[in-house]
Amino acid sequence: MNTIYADFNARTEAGHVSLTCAGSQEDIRTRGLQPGDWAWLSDSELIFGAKLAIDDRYGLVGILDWDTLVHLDDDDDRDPMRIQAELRELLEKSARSQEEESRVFQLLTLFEEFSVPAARSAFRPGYFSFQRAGSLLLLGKPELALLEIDDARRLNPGRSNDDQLFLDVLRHVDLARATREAEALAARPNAPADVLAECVNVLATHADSLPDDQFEPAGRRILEWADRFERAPGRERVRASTLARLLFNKGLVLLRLGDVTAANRVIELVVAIDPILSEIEEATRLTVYDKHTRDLAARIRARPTAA
Amino acid sequence: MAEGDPLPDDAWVVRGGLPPFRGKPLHSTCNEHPSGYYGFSVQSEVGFTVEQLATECPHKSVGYTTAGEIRKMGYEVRETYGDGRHATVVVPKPWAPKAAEQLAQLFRTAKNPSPKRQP
Repeated sequence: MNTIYADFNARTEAGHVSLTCAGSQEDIRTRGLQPGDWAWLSDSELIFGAKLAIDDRYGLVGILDWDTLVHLDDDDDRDPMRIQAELRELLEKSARSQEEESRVFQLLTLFEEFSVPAARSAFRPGYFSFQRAGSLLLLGKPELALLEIDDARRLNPGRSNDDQLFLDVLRHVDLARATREAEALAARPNAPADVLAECVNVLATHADSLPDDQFEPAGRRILEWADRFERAPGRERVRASTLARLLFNKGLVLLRLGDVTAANRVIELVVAIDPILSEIEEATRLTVYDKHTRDLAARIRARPTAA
Repeated sequence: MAEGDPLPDDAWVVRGGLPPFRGKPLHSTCNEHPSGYYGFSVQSEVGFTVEQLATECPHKSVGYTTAGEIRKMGYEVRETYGDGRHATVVVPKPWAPKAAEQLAQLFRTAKNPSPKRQP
């Protein structure tokens, strides 16, 4: 986690943190941050995610996201063995509440802070950033998740799980950029199956907003990527939820292209693969691509792939 | 008390964080407050206890001293606007790191009974 210095004592009436002291300014300059950017702020005792902004009276400030506060100054949260045990227990759960996900995010950060290098080296480079990105996305903090997944990809380039999560995060933050990145990743001849599935999800989200006369080329491309997915490296290892989402997207494209029979057949497969997506049952009965269908698709796609 | 007024000698002065604030020395946390004073941020108000002032800080530990003790070292503490009971310990610009370290030693450590939470 890359942090910039902030003095949390220097808060404005609105509770924002002034970032005009020498310590903050130096870090901000080095990192090339601008108002509107998101960053991790720390004074080495606390960490907060924050959005940088200009305050008319104070100049550059950080608007704190209190949900992301991590106390590095809590004596009860300094034992790496205890942190690791609690983290392992939470990560092994198949589903986590918001509070548990928030705790996962904190524990990842605490373990990275307080464990000895030998303990950290048992984890691959970028592990903590990757896990934090997933947690932050599930907590509805995509901009901060993007900081973390960018770090994970920098520390361990070319890992398909990182690329998949990167696209998922970016889809929530900046769909136009996500579409460009998906095109670039799908253009690689050996693009892994999980990455192609996420490329399909991104392009399908983008294509949804296209008018009918512009949809067909995007739709055909989605179908082409979905076919490549079946032959792509790692196809046999993709999670059921990833496969279900890919087929759901493929089914909706077929529906919008007018092939209702094929669409229903594909979506019925989704029900069998991942019945957790409760809305899918309804999708098997769709016959036209209308506003109702679009809303249904948006609801399903709003869930992070990591969920 | 009004904006810019000096705090009386017996006013408690609280700064969030563990003294002597080695994570980031005091001189590098100084800035120009919009009211025109150069210095670092604290919580201070006449009639408030250390515990009450600490609740404005999100930290689990705080440093505390009095305005009088700070004044004895040649600095001023002025009420300035900001969150909670914000005040500024006014220092010369530039401020020598050694002088900042000496002032930091003045702050005693207290556990924060109720760190500030999400507003």
